[in-house]
Amino acid sequence: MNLSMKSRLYIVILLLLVLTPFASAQTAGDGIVQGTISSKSNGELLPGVNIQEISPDNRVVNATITDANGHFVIRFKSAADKLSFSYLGFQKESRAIGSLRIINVGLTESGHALEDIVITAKKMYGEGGFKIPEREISTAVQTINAKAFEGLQVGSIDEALQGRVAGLDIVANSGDPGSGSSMRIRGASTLNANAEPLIVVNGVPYNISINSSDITNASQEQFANMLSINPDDILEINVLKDAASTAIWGIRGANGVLMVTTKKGVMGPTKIQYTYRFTRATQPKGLNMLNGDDYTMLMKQAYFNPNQDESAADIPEFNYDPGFSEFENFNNNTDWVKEVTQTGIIHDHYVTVLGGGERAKFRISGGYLDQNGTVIGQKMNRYSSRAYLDYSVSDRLKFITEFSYTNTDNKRDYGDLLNIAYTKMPNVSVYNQDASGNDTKTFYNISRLSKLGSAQRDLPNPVAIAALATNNVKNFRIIPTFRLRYDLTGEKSKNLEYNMYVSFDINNDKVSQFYPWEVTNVASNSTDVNRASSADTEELLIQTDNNLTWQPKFDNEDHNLILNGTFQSTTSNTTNQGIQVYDLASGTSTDASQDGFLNSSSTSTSTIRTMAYMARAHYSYKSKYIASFTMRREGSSVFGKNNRWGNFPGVSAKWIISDEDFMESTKSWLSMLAIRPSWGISGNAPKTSGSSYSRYVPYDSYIDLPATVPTSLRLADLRWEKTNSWNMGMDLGFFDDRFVFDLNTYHKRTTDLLFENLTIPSTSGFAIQSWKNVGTMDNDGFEVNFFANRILKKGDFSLDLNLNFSNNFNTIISLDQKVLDKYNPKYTYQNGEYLSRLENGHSFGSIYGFKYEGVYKYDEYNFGENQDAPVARDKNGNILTDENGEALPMMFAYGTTSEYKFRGGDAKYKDINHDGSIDELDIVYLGNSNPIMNGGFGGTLRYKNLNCTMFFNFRYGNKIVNAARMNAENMYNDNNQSIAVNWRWRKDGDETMIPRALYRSGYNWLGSDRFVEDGSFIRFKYLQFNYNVPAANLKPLGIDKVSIYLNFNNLYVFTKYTGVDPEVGYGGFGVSSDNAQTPRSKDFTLGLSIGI
Amino acid sequence: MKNKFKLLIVAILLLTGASSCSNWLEVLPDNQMILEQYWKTESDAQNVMAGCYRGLIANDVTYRMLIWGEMRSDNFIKGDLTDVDMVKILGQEITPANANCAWGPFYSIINNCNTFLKYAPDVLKEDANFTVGKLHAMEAEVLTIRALSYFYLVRAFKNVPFITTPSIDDSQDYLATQSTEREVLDSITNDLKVAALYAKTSFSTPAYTKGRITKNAVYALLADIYLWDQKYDDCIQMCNNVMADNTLKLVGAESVINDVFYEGKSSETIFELQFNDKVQINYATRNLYGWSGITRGGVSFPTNLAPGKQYSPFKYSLGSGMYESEKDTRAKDFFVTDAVSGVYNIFKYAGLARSENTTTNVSSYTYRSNTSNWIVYRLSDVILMKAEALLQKTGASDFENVVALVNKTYQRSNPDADTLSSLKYSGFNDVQSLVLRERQRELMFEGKRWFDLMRLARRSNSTAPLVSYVAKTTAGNEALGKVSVMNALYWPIHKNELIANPLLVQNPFYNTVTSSTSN
Repeated sequence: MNLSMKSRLYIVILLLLVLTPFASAQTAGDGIVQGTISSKSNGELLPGVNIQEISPDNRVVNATITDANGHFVIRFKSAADKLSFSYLGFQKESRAIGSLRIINVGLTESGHALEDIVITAKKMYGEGGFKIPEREISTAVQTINAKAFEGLQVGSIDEALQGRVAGLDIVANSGDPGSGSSMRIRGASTLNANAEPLIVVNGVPYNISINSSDITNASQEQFANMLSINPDDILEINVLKDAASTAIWGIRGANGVLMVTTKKGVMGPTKIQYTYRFTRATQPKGLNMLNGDDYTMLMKQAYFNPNQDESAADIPEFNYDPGFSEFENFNNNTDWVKEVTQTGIIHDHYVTVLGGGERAKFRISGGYLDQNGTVIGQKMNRYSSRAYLDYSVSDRLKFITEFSYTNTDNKRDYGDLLNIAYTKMPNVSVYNQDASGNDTKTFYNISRLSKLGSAQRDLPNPVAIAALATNNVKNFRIIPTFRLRYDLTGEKSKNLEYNMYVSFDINNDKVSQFYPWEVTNVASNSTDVNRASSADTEELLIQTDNNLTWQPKFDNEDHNLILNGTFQSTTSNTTNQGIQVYDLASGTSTDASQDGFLNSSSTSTSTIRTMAYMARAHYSYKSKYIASFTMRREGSSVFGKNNRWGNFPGVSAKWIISDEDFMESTKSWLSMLAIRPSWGISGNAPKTSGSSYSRYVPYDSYIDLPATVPTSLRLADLRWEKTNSWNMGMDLGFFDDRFVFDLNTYHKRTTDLLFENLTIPSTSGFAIQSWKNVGTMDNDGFEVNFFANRILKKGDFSLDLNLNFSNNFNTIISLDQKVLDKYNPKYTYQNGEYLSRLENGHSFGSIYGFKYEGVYKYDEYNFGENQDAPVARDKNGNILTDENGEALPMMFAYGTTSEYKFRGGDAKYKDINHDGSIDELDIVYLGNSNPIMNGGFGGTLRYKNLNCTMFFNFRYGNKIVNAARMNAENMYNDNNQSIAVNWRWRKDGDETMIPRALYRSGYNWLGSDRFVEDGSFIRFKYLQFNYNVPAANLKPLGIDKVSIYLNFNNLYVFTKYTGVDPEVGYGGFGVSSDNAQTPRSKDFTLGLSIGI
Repeated sequence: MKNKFKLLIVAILLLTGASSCSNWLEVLPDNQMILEQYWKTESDAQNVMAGCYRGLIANDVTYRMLIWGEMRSDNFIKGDLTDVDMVKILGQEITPANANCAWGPFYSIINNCNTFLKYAPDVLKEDANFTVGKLHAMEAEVLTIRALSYFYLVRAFKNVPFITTPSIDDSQDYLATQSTEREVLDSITNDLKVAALYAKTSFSTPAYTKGRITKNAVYALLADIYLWDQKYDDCIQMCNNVMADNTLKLVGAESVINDVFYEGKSSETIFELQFNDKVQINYATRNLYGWSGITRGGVSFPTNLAPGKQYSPFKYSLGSGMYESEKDTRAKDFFVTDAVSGVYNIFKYAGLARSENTTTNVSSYTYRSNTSNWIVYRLSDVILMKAEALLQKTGASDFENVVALVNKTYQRSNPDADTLSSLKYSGFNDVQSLVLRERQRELMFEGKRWFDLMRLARRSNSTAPLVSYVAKTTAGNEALGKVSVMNALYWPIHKNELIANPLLVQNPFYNTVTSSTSN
């Protein structure tokens, strides 16, 4: 068998395509049938009636329509076939051909043709051929119908899901357009392999790109991109939480699975729906920063204080001396934050066309989104389109084609403008000012010859960056999927079905950047400016799935069994190319393809293949005792020969107690009581390929000898990361399921944790080992979900409520000492530094630091009067003295090179061990970054055609290091500070919590509880009004449906947190830290949807 | 119908056939060779050998050769440097956090060498053209590159892990303990003795002969090691081996800047790393010394040591109105006085040519625009190593011969002056400082000075003589307090290295010192 996997697959597809027509090309004696079609009620002749010849296996073999006189002629293929007549507004009829050669039909008008058909069937859950009734789900799965957030203005579904699902914690990375969110289902069960859940769209895993050319934002950008499915297209989302349900996804299933089902075409006349949404977003007010006048006064003090030296503070930029040549540029009150922010506007258009007949159904949608960010220079637009088409060749054979296309053009800012704005000195001007103080047209940059500290001096002009620099990412993604479903027996009683799909995912990213010299103060021929770079990533992912499902029919209908065998394979090819050139002409050639000096170029390719076999069984008895089994065996090319294959079993069971006879008495109020135990193993593999080989790469040359060097360690020992999880669930329903509880508790243990880029001793010749299995970690938690459907119902008025909350507790069981050491560095006596301890048996995210006790009021201790001075005290608060009776001074890090004697106005830290020295021995536990609980609640009020939905999400009990505030209050460098520092200590006796200003000196901002804040919050996430115009009013206009909605997003955050937004991203191992990312904007959306 | 069904089943079974598919998961990396497929031909071996050389011209490595060899010495003060770590080195403020004490770049070369030494012999079986003779010649080059790397490490850190096995996969133990300086010096000396047997005398092109390891390069390195190791007889022997080669000649004084440092591959060079603008720019000399783009480098020559100044090695007063090195061409060739700022910019390596107006005696300087090579050993160095060794060996008994050796380089640059006479130097210390002074004048900015001063300190087991030199720059007393003990002369092991390998023992001098300032 030398054929590649791919070509073998094609052969099978070909076989299938070729064989089917043969099979149905049966014996036939053709002839002609003709006739006239009229309306039964008034005898009117009907033109354009659809006539189809249908074979006994319900395949359409021929078709025609009636002419203007209602007459038709058709050459039939077989007399055994029948003719079917259908016409809009009339009931469908059919006639067997047999010996008839003239068939005249009178069609009956159908009064109900346009009315909705109510289908009463058991709701099924599953993908491909393996579908089980929803009530028989024995694993931890939560389903969200998109109706729940219909009309919500969200850039992507992750925003809409936030707070909706117990155990699914979603945190927005920042408010920048396209920056996306991080998701964690039941906490992170991995260290730094991918921790994001797997997304599955219509049964096909949706690839998260790993190799991004834009390294800094890689996972976030890609993740956001991945979720760019328009919320309008989503029918339903299932969140799979326990391993018994995720085991079938094997690789990456360890992080949980989000199964997205998109809407499909429906039978009936073609409908067109158009939606327009308009959103206006504003940046929430962040820290209030100093104006130029207050700033310069602060700076002069900060420079003077360390050595009480006037000349140190004699800096022309702070002096307001008209004799200074740049005077006009340094006498301003610039509000940089205001300069870089703007009102964000989003226009979102979306058109959907859907319809279909008995044989073919379609749904095609397309949209255009245009967004201006809340920071200047941010602009994104996105074209997206999705098509779903299914065609039944016969009752037994069905083809389904899906196609999605997204084209995003995201013009981002080059660098974090908001951050620059918060730090840039406010007395400097945006534009160069002439001698009389008027703005000229050129941007002003502080001269590189200025004596200001380099950090401030070289800080670029953020307004200039937005205007002149480019940082665009263009993404282009096409995902065609072809499916085939074939009923092998054709008999309902012995249901054996073959399903397959091939899905291609073509994803191209192009990042182009240009950084002009006008935005900085460096020379124009520097390698840092007039520099363009371009990076391309091309990915092709091919996924195939072949499976057979068999549902034997038992005589005793109490038994129900489904068996399934699946074979899957994936191939992913990635190519990255990057190039950077400098010394271009700013303004004219800003593209990396232009002729400049080549700074660097890179290219890399990678191929990863996986393959899996899977067997599944689902058995239920009386739909009351239910058991499911899964066994998946998956192999991945990223592992070495010995560890390539992993086994991922899953077992789950469910007992619906409320269906038992003995529960009959409680049936009136207890409509559902079921327990669901489950167990399973899921796996995680490294993201990179090729690490199982000792690789040699070319390394330029020496003189004229081409050089080659070994480039990596061979990972012969690397194994799958496996998560073993137990889940105990319970379903409760009261009063005919008007109140529904869904409860889960779980225990997950991840072994062979994967760790990326572990530092190894460089004496090995390598800096890092790309992957290593480093230990074991536990996640324990519980989830509670509660729905109340129509708890209040009075006339046209009704109310729904929902609530969920969850908790996840993470424990490190054992970790490689090297990993622990890496995260447990020695204390370095630096300002702003918090210690984080990673220890076996403890959770991560703990924050350690000093206790802050305010500011020393006086410099010199004076018995009886100036008590509050920096002197050492014993346990009882008595002053420690030296042999002469002099009070001993309070020191920092006594006996080290960092030794410092505290003075009046310095920060006062608690001397825990009363040794007169503030050092690492005084560091205490300050809290943990992991929330005790998170979740959401909300409700829907309905009154006639008006809906009002509100939703809140919350987090409780997590601590955040407010680094943004720390940097805005430390008075340590030239950065602008918040107005809080106006309350700083200035002279002996001042009573304040803000220490004195000390430029690059002292220890006034050690990592202490001063900057550790409670991150608990409740966010009023949205309030939405939705009004459907009554159909009666629309009918005369020929319009089906009009709905109008008004949506307020992010209305208010109830929190004690003093920063802009307590919702900061995960801090990984360390602590979560608020670094002043663009906060989530407050916005409102006005939407209009018209259906024709 | 039935047939079709069977066919389908067969097709699925074929598709899922486990045995045929296990190969499918064997994905070889694109555009990369793997160990199992490598080491088949002579060129495979040669390419890895070239990789060892390529490592020597990597940025991190040349920077370290320069920084470890000279940055802490009295030859530099801060010029245009902005790199905080380097500024701290100039002030002797060195902590385990300083990026320049990371030793990884040298171990990367060592690992390449170890890989070559392990696998290259396998090629003998695979490639008939690859003879034992060729293998030995290449091994000699690789052994020498490895020895040179270890010699830098030993001089910088004293006790370092000595590793001779290649790192192949994750099952090996990478937690290495340190070997003593003694063990490392003995091992590399033995390796070099082998290399000296098999190394070639010369190659087919000048670039190879000067840019690759020859017998002379092995001798010069051995001489340097013996001198460091205070084995003066052996050192003299090695120097004699080099000096016996009459193809090595000092160029004329007027050609030094152009031939030796601008063009490179001169007749006095023994081993010179060959840079190429297209492959690797020598950023160490370009950024720290300057070039036509920026004539003022990161460091400059101390004003206190400029000709005519109190501590200058040039126009050095011998008392009673007599001067040594009064009109030394090197004082004009190797650095430039910036008339406006009074800064002495470095011209060696940065320059292309100096021309002197014969009437005004004012020099004009032309800077290079291409990248420079980096000389590891040249003849002057070897001559003066011999002078140093001879003096240490013979003590006061052979001043004449020592001074005669010094005269070889001195006279070239002081053509109009009288030869130095041993009579003018009235004792061992006088002659010792003359040798040191001549080495400073001749080899300044070549990454030698700090090691020269360390040898001085090691001989007396005291930092005092070293401090007396370093104190002559503008460095304050605080800085000098930081070189008060012998251990302070070595570098700390980088903090990340200690985290990665708990078996490493930090230089005790740095154990208690923590960084005193923060950003």
